[in-house]
Amino acid sequence: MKSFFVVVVLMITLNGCTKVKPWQKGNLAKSHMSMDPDPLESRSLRHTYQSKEGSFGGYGVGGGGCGCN
Amino acid sequence: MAAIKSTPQSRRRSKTIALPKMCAASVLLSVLSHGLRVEAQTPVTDTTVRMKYVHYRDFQAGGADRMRINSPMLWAKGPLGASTEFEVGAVADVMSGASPLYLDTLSGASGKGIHDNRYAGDLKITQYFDNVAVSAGGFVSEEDDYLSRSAQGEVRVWSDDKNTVFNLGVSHDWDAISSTNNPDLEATRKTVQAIAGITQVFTPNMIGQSNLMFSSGNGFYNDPYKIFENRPRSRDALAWLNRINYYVEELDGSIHFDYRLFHDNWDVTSHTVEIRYYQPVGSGITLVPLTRYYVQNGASFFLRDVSAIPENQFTTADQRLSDFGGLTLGMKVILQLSESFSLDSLYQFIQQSSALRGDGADGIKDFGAHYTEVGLAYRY
Repeated sequence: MKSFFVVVVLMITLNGCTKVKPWQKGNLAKSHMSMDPDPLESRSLRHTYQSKEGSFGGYGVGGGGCGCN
Repeated sequence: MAAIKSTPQSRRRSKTIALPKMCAASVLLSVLSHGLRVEAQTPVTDTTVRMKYVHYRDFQAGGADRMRINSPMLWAKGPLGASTEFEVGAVADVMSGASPLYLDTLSGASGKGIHDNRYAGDLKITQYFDNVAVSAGGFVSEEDDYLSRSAQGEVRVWSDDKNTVFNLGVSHDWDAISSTNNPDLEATRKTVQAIAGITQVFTPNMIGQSNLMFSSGNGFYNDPYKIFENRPRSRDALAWLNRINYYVEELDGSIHFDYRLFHDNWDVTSHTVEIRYYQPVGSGITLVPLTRYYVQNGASFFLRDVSAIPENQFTTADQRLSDFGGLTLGMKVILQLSESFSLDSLYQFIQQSSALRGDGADGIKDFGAHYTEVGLAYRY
């Protein structure tokens, strides 16, 4: 929990240092730079791993419940 | 007159000034038209439809096939007016096979196998305001012996320079569990989840995200098809996800690095590292090699020795709650046929093994899975 807040403070601090302008975001706008370039694939993979492992979550909240074996 | 008459020199100067401005304007237009999807500070202007067909097959040591799942899937996202967007998804899983041998009542021990279908759907509506977006959504998943429903809400707030986005989300899940083996079983479970996160543009080539999720569930957690099941009736979990996307200018490629830490009050602790690399190679083709490493400590009540079953204590022999590691290797190919239409295919091999945990502790029998996916995306 403490580490999360350290990362948040670090991110906000770094934002103060960098200030990327709108016309500098061309590379970030490329489809493969999206956090989730293929939402259907990522939800399918998360469902698969959640069904086979003892962990879950972090990408969003709710949904995905199943009686998977 | 002289004031409005330009000389060849001034024309040259105005060209050299205008060119970077035009480049900047075209990049800005590109940003505005495609949107910074992770930030999503404006609703999408086009509708995107994705369809996939997934074939999943897993097996355990000795080559015995276990589960086979075929899944057609559909997803769409698009505008609903000027400041509203929708996102909708649907999936049908056709499952057949058997759970791990010895530890369940449907597979080898009873001579029965598993045949089930799962149908799931979800809908999310997002309303955009000046610096805020508010989403509400729902999810339903139904099987012969399992019904899951969920309601979710999310708020995103971004800074004036749009380099920082904060998100807060909550959800409530209601699960109803029954069993084809035991008609008397009518159990329920309720789960509340909350997430807080920040997405940050660091440089023109790097963006990061950090999410902290808390989950608290109460109710029936046993797997009705496994023996030795006596799990606690509550589970509190924390997942901390950190992601970095870095654009490699020299190659026009991008690296996606994810790390997740998970811990819960059953003493399951896991680390997940996932790396993907997107490389356009010309002719509309993008190659995406990927790898994922997962390692977990099993639940404190996992039965490491099924010959000595403790009485009046929590127990499970579910291999998913044992000590093990997992490694995934895969490759995805995306073929962009036109600006609005693309095809994609992914194959990955998943291996789970006690040996991959590093200390070689006893846990599950080695387990492997083939995950094959073909899909298309259409934007209009």
